[in-house]
Amino acid sequence: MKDNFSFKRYQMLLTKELKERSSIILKLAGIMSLVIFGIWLTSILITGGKEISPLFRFGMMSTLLVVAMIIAPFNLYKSYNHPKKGIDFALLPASVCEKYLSMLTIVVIITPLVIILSLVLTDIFLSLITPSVFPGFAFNANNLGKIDISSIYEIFILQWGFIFGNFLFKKSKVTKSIFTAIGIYLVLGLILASTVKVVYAEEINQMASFSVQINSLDDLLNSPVLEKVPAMRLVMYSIYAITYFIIPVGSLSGTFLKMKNQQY
Amino acid sequence: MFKIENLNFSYSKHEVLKDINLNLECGKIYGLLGQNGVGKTTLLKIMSGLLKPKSGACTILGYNPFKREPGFLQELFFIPEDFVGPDIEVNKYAALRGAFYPNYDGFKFSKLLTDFEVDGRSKFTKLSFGQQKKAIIAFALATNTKLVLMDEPSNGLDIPSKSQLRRIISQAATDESCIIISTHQVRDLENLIDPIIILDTNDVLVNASIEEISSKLKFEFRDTPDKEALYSEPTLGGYLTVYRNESGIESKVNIETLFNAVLINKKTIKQILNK
Repeated sequence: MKDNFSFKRYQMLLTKELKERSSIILKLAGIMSLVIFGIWLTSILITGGKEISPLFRFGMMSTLLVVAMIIAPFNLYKSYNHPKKGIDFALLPASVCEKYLSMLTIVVIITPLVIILSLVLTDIFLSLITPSVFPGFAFNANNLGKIDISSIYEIFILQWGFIFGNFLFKKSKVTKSIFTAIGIYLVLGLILASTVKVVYAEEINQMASFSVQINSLDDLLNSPVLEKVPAMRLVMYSIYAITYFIIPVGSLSGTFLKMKNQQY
Repeated sequence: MFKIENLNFSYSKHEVLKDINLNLECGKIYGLLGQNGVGKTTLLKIMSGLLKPKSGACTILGYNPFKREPGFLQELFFIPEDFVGPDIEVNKYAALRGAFYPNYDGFKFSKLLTDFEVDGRSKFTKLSFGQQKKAIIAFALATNTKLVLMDEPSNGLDIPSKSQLRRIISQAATDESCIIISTHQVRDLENLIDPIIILDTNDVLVNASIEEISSKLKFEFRDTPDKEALYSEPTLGGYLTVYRNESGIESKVNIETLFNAVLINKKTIKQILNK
């Protein structure tokens, strides 16, 4: 067991990784904060100090956080599968499990927290010095209350997919990951659409008379319409399972296997 | 301790190593020689767990290298030919990684850096290729691992550094450790590497100590080439000639000449050395 995982070694590895990669994390956080600063500056210089609402800033910061979370693995661990640069990390005396967990800890937990902290501090600072431009704080109880767990999980699903892309592709990692993600969702959509159209043609005709407001998969699954059409409910559950279970589990386990079997 | 049995490896359809068998022991500095493309680097990478053999077995200190278990990695250090250091200070690099090696000696590292005249406060990215290489060699030897694999360590080093390298490696070698040096620059490491392994695409042509080689082959200077010789090559002032050693009198082994002789008389010299 100690060969697979030792907490002491994991701690040592995490410390080493943080000491070596902290500058990249801080740089990423700095760039995201600069965007907020840029919005503030634009408002002062171009629109004459027009007020930017906390809700807009909150949305902006959330988008920046998602972007940072997606690009973080490419910035922090781009060399892992590099035939020359990757050797150093691969031969470091720690197990694949420890390397995998330290990588996830940094990319999934620490980096987003540092970026959130940096964004919050920037927003607080700017709203304190120019309350007329940045009235109130973006991170307030009202805005935070609008976040739902499934949205956060969806962001993580996206990030885990990109982490896998970083370990899977050797060149043009970002582009290939984006196109693969689009490709997977297109193929899945097409398969499901065709299945529904061919296999459940009768049910679809039944549904033609129904109307439903759909904002998310949850809405659709809980919709009373689907209760009347069990076959469609099955299809929707399949989409749900693929999106919320198979893709994230596949991304995380794929990353682990790629790290374990990477050859140089 | 280090055993390779019927090892096969290929890059897609290009076969590099075929049915390779090798037994290596601690307390020695092996010189791994071979023509370009015979698989010296590939063999070192398989031994360090960076590549997975297609078939056959490679057992290092009882471990399967490709599993990259911490217990194995703590006893191995591989220095690639073109080492690329990260963007951090040499001393910081060593301090952060040294903690993972149970026998790491920070004192030894500082001393080796001083011997190599490398400033440990510099970032790798600010050092020349040769200096980066000296820094990583110093760190490798300070880890005191049981197996050190060096791929062309003298490449990129200036003339004084090459003699420093020879001295430092010979001082660092212990009875518990095994150092394998793959090189084309035989002259850089002459008087250091012993035994000699000469690798061919499908075979290990030589795996013998200098003593064994000199007891079976005789190296002589001649004014003219000798048709009876196994091999002879022109040098300044005559011909360096290789014969079977039938007299039993030992001569100084010239590794470069041995290498050339083996390439020309693969079968014959293999038979002589395996007798």
